[in-house]
Amino acid sequence: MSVSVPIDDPSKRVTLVEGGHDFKSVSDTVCRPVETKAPKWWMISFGIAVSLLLLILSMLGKLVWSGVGVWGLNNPVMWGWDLVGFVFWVGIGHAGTLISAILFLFRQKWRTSINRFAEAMTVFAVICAGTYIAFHVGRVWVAYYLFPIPNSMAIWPNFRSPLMWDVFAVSTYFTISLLFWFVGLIPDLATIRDRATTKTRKIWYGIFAMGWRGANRHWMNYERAYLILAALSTPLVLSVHSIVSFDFAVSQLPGWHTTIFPPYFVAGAIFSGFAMVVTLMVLARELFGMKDFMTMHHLETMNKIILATGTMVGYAYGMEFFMAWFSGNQYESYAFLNRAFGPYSWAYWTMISCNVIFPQLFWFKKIRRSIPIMFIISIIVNIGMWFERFVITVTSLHRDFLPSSWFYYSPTYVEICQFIGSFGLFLTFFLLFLKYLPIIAISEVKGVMPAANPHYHGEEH
Amino acid sequence: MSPIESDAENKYWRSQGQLENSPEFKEFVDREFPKDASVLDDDVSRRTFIKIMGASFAFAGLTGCAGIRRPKQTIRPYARMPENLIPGRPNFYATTMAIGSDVVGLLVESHEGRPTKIEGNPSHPGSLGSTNAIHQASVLELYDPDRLKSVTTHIPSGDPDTYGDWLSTQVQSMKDTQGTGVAVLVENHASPTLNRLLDDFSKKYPNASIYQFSPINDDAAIEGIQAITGKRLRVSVDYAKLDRVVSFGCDFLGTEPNNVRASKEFASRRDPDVEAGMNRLYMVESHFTITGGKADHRIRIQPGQFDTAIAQLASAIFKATPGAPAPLVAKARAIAKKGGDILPEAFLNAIIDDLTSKNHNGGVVVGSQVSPFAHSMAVAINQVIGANNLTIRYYPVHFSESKYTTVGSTESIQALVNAIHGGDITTLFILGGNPVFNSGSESGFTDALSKLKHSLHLTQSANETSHHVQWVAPKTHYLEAWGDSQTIDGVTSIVQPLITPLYTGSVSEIEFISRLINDADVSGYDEVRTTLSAASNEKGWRRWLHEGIVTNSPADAISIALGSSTASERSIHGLQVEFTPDFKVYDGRFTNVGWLQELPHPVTKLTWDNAALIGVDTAKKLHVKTGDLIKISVGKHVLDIAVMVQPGTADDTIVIPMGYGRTIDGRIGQGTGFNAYALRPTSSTSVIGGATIQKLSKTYTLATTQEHSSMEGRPLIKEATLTEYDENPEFAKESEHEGPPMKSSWPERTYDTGNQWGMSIDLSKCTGCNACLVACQSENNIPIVGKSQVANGREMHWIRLDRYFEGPENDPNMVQQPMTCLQCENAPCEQVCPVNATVHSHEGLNDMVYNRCIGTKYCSNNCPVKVRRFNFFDFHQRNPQAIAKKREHFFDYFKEPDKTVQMQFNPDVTIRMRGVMEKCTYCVQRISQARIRSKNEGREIVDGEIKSACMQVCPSDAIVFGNTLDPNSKVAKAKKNPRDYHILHELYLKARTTYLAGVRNPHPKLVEEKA
Repeated sequence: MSVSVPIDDPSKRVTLVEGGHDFKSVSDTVCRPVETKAPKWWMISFGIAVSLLLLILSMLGKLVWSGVGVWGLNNPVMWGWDLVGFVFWVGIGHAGTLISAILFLFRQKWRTSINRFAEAMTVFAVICAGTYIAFHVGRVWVAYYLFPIPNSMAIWPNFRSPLMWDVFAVSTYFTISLLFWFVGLIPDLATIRDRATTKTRKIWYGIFAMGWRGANRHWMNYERAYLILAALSTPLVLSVHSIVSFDFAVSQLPGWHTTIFPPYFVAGAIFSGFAMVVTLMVLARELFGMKDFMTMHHLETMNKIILATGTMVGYAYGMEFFMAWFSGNQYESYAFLNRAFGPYSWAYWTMISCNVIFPQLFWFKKIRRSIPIMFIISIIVNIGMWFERFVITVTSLHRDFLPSSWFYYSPTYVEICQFIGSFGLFLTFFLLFLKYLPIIAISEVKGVMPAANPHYHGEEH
Repeated sequence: MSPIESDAENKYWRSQGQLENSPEFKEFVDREFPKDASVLDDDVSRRTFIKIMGASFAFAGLTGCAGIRRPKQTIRPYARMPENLIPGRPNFYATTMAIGSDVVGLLVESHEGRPTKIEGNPSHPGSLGSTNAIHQASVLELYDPDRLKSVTTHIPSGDPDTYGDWLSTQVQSMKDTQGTGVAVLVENHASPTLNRLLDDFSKKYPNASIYQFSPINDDAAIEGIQAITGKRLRVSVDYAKLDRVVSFGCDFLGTEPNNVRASKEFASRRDPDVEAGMNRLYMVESHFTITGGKADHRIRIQPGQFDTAIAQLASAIFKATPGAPAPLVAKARAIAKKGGDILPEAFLNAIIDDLTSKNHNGGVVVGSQVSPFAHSMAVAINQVIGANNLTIRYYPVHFSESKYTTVGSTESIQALVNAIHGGDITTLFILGGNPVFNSGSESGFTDALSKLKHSLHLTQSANETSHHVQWVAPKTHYLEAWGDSQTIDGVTSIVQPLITPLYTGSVSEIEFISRLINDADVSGYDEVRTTLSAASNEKGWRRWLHEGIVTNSPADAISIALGSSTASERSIHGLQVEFTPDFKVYDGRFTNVGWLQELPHPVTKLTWDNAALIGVDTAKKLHVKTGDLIKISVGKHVLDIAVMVQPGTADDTIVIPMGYGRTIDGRIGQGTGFNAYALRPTSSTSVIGGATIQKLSKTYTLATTQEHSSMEGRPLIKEATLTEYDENPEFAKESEHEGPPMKSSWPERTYDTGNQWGMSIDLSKCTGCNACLVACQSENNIPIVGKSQVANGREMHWIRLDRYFEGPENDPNMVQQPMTCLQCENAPCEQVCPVNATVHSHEGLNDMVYNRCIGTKYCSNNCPVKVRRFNFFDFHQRNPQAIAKKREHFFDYFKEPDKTVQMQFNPDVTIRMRGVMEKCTYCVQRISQARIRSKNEGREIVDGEIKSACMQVCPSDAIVFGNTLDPNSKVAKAKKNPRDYHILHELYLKARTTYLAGVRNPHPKLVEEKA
């Protein structure tokens, strides 16, 4: 590779906030979107997002009114875009938790400028996933049977079912993520409250700031609560997607029934989540002028993680094939040959090229630091990860044990519009977040600035 | 009233207040309701009135939305209880269904006066307790809402109300002219009463004439047999005694008359352990039939080659066994020589070896659509090898003394058309049938109809024929009217109605003819009793009704002597088009029966359509593939039809099942399939040559239920030859899992007490005839989903007939496997259901709790055999015959099945709503009924008391159901059979349904040669 690219000096810490900011300018920059009128691009994007939101609502309305038959599902393929969408969104959520919780515990200070952002993404992505898990059932009006609600006939849910575990995993995940996000927001909400110039802002941010005064005791409790929530979230990063993978791994379908699934799914989730964070961050730092906080260093670090997890996923793909051959199980072998060479081979090869081949470009520093290329690759990765879930779900189902029941599945417009609409749901929330909440953790960023060092005297560090 | 005083002495008291007799208590008792409730007793102020009324309206509104919904219709109790009717408990009545000469006795289940389910009548020789798919579906035909409900007329400004007057005028003028210019056209029938009345009609109106026509008939057989024996006879074959069967295009297990009985008898010899020895079937046919699928040896030949093929066999037989008249020998040799060798030498030698063997009863059977010459030859061969009168018997055709039966259908309808054109006939009564649609492209029948002065069609539903006549009168269904039928071998049974005609004014053929004779309405009951009066007193009559049959023993067979002439042979060349009766809609009469339309064809797996079946090689040669539309031209007739590439079809042959492509039909049948009759010149044409095809640029969607026909080398259906079986009876267990002992992830329940239900399916016997599938649909209220939903893989049938081909693509073998819920003890579906909607019963059933199901569909994904069916929609509501429900409240936008269709529903089985999963229950409602019955009678359930619908209907007796813990039960014995195997054994399902591996009995020499 070309020598002109400077190599990081490992003995030195990289500057996390650039542009010579002091504490005040940090607050000013981060609070600016909240305190000023929404820019034009925001209004336009929000308009589009809300229209897409209406699209998913109308599709869900049709689904409930007419029945699950409006989707293209058929007898062997009883799960299609619904489960694919569910796993896709849950997977995306994972990056947020990883960045907030695990990197927090590992004292990775570079996380501070992106964790808020990523956590918000988690919460909204899990909401999107939730719509799928709620509406994929045939009778959504009795979906509450999924919860262990005491009843006179003493019927409990089936605790042996991975789908039951899913319900607990996802609801726990959502609760913890929301709390974690909210707790982190409190000091910053108080900052906005304190800076507020209008009464409405004062009242609303005041309510959610929950009386934060920045007292020493507050900070002590806050730090402890944050640490506990981080500790609670950490196992969730691994457990939630492991449990999602159990939906497949615990069944006995060739192509689903493999022990590699939990780690493979977790790696895939982080892979896709980080890609999504990169996509959103590249846009946000550009649009809100926050390049000083979300620096190239951040992006590069994330690209490295994408490279690492992408390679893990690639390894899993290879290992699946090896095990299919090594097991000597004819149904298993057929399932994998069918993936690569059957009627859905187009999906399989899309997946391989998007997930395994393209991320390998990140070996090159120039590419890791190129905004347009990383933006494109991050989108490719998300397309690839969507296809991964499609390949796992549909190709395994459409040809299993008895050739007599084999059938092809194609989605209808309802499934497609619903998936497009789920982005509307996500973006609506996300744009509201961008406009009305501090998208960077002000207090945490301040903590990693040189000015926060008690020995700081204004010199370059 | 105040209960205080009387209560005073009472030692029980309601409260302290009562005990003390306090004024508050007194007031409480007097008022009955608490104080605040009776505000209206006070002087009503305007404000309180408004307040209370407002609240009342609000509450009334609430109840209207969600609370009590009382039916607005009147319900009536039985003022006088009908005899033998216990609400909730079905009654069974014996009756008979006849299609042409195919007569099958039935027992029909009736719930509170509604016939709901057809079963076979065990005492009837045509049924022996079973039926086929068409019989099963005939109950839905009764309730078809598209049936003709009243008289209609096509006379311009004609008034249907004047029908009675018109008919009386006709009768009057017939009386005056002795029937001059009047003709009656009937279908081929087997009813002694109808025949008696037709004879009476001829006597009363000597100038009137009677014609008989059916598009699918056995005239070729009758003609062929007549040519060599001089008598009009039909064949009755005893497959139970026939050790070696050689069939020339005879689909005796499928579409031929008497298929139910033939299946029963044939299957009784398909068991490798049967005492009389396993039978052997050689099949020579042009396209795969289910009979060909069961064959031990199968040869594909073109339909035009049958004459040569049978001549080749005959000439070899005559050489080996003397006894045939010399002219026959010469003729056989000449034709065989002319046509060249059709049958391979080894195959021919094997047949000769088997047919001439002293140790076996051999026999040759020929399909009723095959040429008359082949039938003549078959009679000769059977005579020479001594099969005639031993296993193959001859009976006179039905009502051979009557004049109208002395000619075949084609001749009869031609005579009728000529008579109309000649002006000899001006009034025509068409009783049933649909000759405009199916009399053939060259019959000229449609044109002739327009020349008539008066015409009437008595029909069950409006069709192409009724569109061309002046008067259309509704005909009763066989479940609505009295009648009788006679099997080929002379067993008479009674057609007993199960229900008053649904549409007033509809009459049976018997009643109609009777009206023409008597000029007054005589009930069908009286007419039938008159016919059978000779031998019946009241007690005898009741007995007949109860048993369903009049005589149990067949008539004496006619002994034949060989003449020296045969029917003339056919000469057909080039690209041949063969017309076959459709397995489902027969000649087209059942196109509006949803169950039959959606029934997957046993071989092609096609639903809702027919198609031009073309062999693999021929399709390649013609550059067509499945779904292409082609134009077939024969002479001046053309037909646009979709292609279906079908393995096992003869080269240069296009096979088209008849009956589809109706232009005037009900809401189910409209727009399905392609009309083969447009190409078929006359009803005696079963094959024509010299066809040309042209590929059209359009394609057509064909909805099949099975897309993949190869077993992919998986051990799903296990088969062996008889020799292999004798050497290693446990062959089926050999390919089972080898490895560490299997263990469930969860504690396994033991099922070692009470009744543990299980099933065994004998693949050696199963023909794949689909009767079980329709029986299940009828018993369990399974909806039809329509063509587009089938094309999307959403058919709801609980039973799937898995049909696989093995061997060369162009000429494979076919195997069938009924697949339904295996009721696994370690059920994969149960473990993954998040809401416990599918659970195991203590009797080992895998139960679906519809109320609990939320429709995650996970169970289906985890079902290794994919037999769970999901209600993607409310399919009963989406049926094209469904009607808008009467709206009772704001949210009520629903549709419901037509009122008559609702009458078919089995009240013992829940109708499933959309969003829930369903599947085979082992007919749990029948198990419950038996359990209740046995408890009431203080006994255990006995083996055979519970028959699942599939077991009861199975014409091959391939399905056995019962208690596996009872060592004497049939099912326990079947499971001890060495052929017993578990499908997907390595998954450790512990399935309750297991299979008996198939055994075939090929000729050892042919096996050697193949090896």
